[in-house]
Amino acid sequence: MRTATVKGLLGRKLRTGLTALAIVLGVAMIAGAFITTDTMLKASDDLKQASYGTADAVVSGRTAFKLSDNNNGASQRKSIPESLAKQVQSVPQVAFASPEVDGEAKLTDKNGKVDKSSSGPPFAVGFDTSNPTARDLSPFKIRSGALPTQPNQVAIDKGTFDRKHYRVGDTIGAIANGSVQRFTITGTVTFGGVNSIGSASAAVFSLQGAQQLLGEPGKVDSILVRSKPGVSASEVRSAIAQTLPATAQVQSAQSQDRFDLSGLDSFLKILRTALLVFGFISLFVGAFIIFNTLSITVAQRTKEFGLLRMIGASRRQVLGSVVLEAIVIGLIASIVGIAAGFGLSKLINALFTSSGIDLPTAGTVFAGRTVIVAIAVGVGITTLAGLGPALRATRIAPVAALREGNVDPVRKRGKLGWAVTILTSAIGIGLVSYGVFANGLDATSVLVSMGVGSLLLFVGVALVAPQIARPLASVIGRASERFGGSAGRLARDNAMRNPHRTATTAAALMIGIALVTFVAVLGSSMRTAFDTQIGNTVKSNYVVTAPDGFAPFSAGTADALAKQPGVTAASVREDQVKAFGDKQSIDGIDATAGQVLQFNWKSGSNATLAQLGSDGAVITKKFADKHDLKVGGTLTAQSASGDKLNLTVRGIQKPSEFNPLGLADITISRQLFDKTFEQPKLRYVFVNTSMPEKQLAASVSQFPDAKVWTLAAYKKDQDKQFTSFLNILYALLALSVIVSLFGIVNTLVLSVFERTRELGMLRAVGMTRRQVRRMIRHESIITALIGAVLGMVVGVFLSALVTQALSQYDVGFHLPIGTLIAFLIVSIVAGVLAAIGPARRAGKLNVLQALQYE
Amino acid sequence: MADGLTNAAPAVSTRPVVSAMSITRRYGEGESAVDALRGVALEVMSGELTSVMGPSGSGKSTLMHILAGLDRPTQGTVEIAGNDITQMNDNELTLLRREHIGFIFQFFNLLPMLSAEENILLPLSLAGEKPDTEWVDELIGKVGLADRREHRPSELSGGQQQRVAIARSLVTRPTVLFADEPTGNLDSTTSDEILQLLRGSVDDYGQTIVMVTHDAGAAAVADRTMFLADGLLVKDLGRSSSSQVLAAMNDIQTAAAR
Ligand SMILES: Nc1ncnc2c1ncn2[C@@H]1O[C@H](COP(=O)(O)OP(=O)(O)OP(=O)(O)O)[C@@H](O)[C@H]1O
Ligand SMILES: [Mg+2]
Repeated sequence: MRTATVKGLLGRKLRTGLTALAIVLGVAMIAGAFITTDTMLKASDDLKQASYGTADAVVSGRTAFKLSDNNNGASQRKSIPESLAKQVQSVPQVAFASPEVDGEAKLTDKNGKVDKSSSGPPFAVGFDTSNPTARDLSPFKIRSGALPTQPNQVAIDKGTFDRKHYRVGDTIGAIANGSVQRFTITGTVTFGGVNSIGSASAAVFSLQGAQQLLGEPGKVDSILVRSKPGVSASEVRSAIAQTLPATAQVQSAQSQDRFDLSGLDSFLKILRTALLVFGFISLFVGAFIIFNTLSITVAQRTKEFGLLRMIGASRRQVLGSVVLEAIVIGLIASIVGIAAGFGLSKLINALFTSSGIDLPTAGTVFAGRTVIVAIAVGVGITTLAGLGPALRATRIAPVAALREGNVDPVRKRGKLGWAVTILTSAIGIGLVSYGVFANGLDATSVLVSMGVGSLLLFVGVALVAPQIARPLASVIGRASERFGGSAGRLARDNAMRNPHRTATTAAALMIGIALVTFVAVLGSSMRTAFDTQIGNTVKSNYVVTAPDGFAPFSAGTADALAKQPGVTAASVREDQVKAFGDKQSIDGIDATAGQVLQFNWKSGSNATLAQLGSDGAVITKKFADKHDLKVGGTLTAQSASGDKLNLTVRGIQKPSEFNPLGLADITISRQLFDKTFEQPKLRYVFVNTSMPEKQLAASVSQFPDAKVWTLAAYKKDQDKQFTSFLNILYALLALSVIVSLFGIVNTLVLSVFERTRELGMLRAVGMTRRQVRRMIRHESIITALIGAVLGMVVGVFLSALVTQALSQYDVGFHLPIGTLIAFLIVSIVAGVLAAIGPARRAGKLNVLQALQYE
Repeated sequence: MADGLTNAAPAVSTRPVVSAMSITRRYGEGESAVDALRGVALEVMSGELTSVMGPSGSGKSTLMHILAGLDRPTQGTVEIAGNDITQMNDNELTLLRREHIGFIFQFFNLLPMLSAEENILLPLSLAGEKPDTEWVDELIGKVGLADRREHRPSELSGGQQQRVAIARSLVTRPTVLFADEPTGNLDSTTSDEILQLLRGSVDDYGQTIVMVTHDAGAAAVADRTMFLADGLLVKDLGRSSSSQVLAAMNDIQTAAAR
């Protein structure tokens, strides 16, 4: 029996191969997800290792809490006097103390434009480059050229250097707080062992150069310590600790973590989860295909199974043989899938790079866990999907061997079948609704309940699909009949003749189309809401941000703008504080803000913004409710440097839940903000003026890290970022659509094979090869369109539910008709593509042999 | 062997519609090669029912496939309605089949999802032609399916299915109709009905038919019977009774046994 199964599989190589492909892609996605993220996490680990370098201790300014690296927090530094290095050096256990400046500075190219090709953070460091021990302690190593020795020299990371085609001796700019300063490139550096540090860039200056650039002569951010031989790291730390003033602290390099990469790590973990989810979606689609293919082959082998039963095979043996077939297919698919996962991980990297998200790279990491999970999932799902057809095979009676031809066993749906169908769909819809409507669920529960609910809904719809497939095929087939003549008509009849088969094939495509429809509708609804909400809040005709739209930029910009005649400008600066025990963003705004921004006031008015003074705060309703604050109430916020702000609530405003500008929960006056935070940086300047755009832009030309947008252009740019996010989702979902294409190919190949004699007859009575190909092509298109229609209905239904739940966030339901039509066209193209192979095969059949085919 | 081919047939016919010139057909190559036809020349006369008989493996089906353009001879040429079909490409052959050739198979080969009438109209629909309703009604009446038009093949008996196949082959009024053991799958009563139907189409419409059969009774309905043995045309009888046909078959078999 076992040999028969394996021989059978070998004999049906094409079929086995096509079936396996359906699983290969899903497994590849899962393996790819692990390989990609393992590799990136390793690179990020290397980065951390490198950033700790060989220092035994790091002395730095004492901060009240550790700022998170969210690109918006600006004054991440709490500097210490350079002279402290001498004091540390004099500790007997210390062999060497190297003062270092660590900050951020954006680089500008020869044309004075900020390098947008790297989205940051733009590390800027300075140390005593002439000292060999200091060089050794620094994680930045010279790669080509030389390290800078003069204050007007710089060495930059190799990635940026190559990307911008710089040469040693070129002059570039760097901008931190003031205006641009110019530096001559002396060479390139790498960060420890890692070539690319993802989206980050790096510039190494002489100690003095860095101090000048970052605007703090005589100050440094950390002192790297090498201990004397025989002195342990902890010994040297405790020795130093005793000598330090209260404003400084000594830590291990690890816990000081100068180049905070935790943001990258958590991004990678989200990325991994996302890729795994998309992998599972593909596998889920693959399961439909396995189920369908094995169902068809079981039906086509009715006689064979009847014969096996007649000569004494038990039901169990029949079951075993089909299940074994599934296991073998699953195993082959998983192994191929793992190999493909390698390729895919490269592709994913390229995809992210092309969408402007550059991630760190290192040697590919291939963990044992990857293999185990991929094989377990691949084989498991294939076997599960094969169970149904296997059970059906056991029900074939021995007399089937004696009947004429192989026929699909008639599958009548009993009461139980209907009950299961309805129950599955109902539970599915119930879970989705619970996920989106229930209050107080955390994000994970929402996603899990929505995900599981959608899967059940898909299964439910797939179970009903055979009932809908015939009428749908009949309606859609009208078009085929119109365009395809009699071949089109036969295609329509063929699509209707085995509704189970058509439905399951279409259901696989339905899943992909439903998900892209969901994303498209939700995306379009959110985008519309987003645009409206920006319009409601922003009342200026210009917006100034960093070129990328979100990075912090020079505070000087606001003053330069405010100085222009006929200009009303209000800036928003941002940093972090700790309030009620939580880390929190805080905004500082100009008194003029009320003239360019419209807040949705619960208490107070736009005028309140001009009266915040040295202790007033405006807070959001959410924040007020959470901490039970009212106007006149007080709260304390602590900055990272330890300063305590005692604030009185002057106004409460309720931003749209979407918060499209991403403003903070606590807003204080600019004066208080600037007093509290050493080096304030801006998020926005809102500008109202009749001045033309060019002239306005020219007025801030000395700040290349600022960009002037008209309000319309700003919205458009935000849309563009949203669109590229949607495009990544589409690309990932496209994989499941591709998987379902294999399903269509498979069904067509099997149908052609089964209808060989019929095709021979058609050719004999006058069907041309072209007509044969056209018939198969239309069958394919009809199936694809059934899938597309079902998918769109499910997708629109799901997105309607979600937008309904989001109505409290002022999100309305918005159908992107153009996009949906594009999906229909894509489905037709998919159908045409899937049909190419099978149609060729059918067209090439030898009439005579086909007629004699048994 | 080609002597007296035409003069042996009764003079009902006027002109040949199919003519084969010294055709051979070899299957395979080298040692294991089989010569299914070893030089056959014949002409099929318009308006005649020609039957082809012979022992199993004598090459009847092979001959018919070649005459109908479904297979190519290894050597020799075949002309149908004045066209040399041995030089035609697939598309030309298909178009020729549409216009000039009808088929009836032993297995009825109907499309299961089409009704009886739709099956009958299939060749016209493939050719993109409008059916002549009067002719179609007459044909369906003649094959006795007037009350079965909307039935699917699965709802018809074997005899009824073969009638559908016959109507399908006649609907285009082909120059020549080929039938390979059309009654091979049917009981004797049904066989007789089918044979009468074929005979009737010759008498009433002047249809030309070439029919391969194992049944002497079937051959007796024909205007002419050709005998194949071992890839050669060995006998060509005019209208004969079934006992004459049986005697001829016996002669051939004893000759082969010797
Ligand atoms: N495709 C093929 N490949 C090899 N040999 C073949 C092929 N088709 C037929 N033959 C051989 O050619 C010879 C003639 O076959 P053919 O089918 O024409 O006989 P037939 O007279 O129709 O027989 P029957 O009465 O059994 O149908 C036989 O010896 C057969 O084995
Ligand atoms: Mg034969």
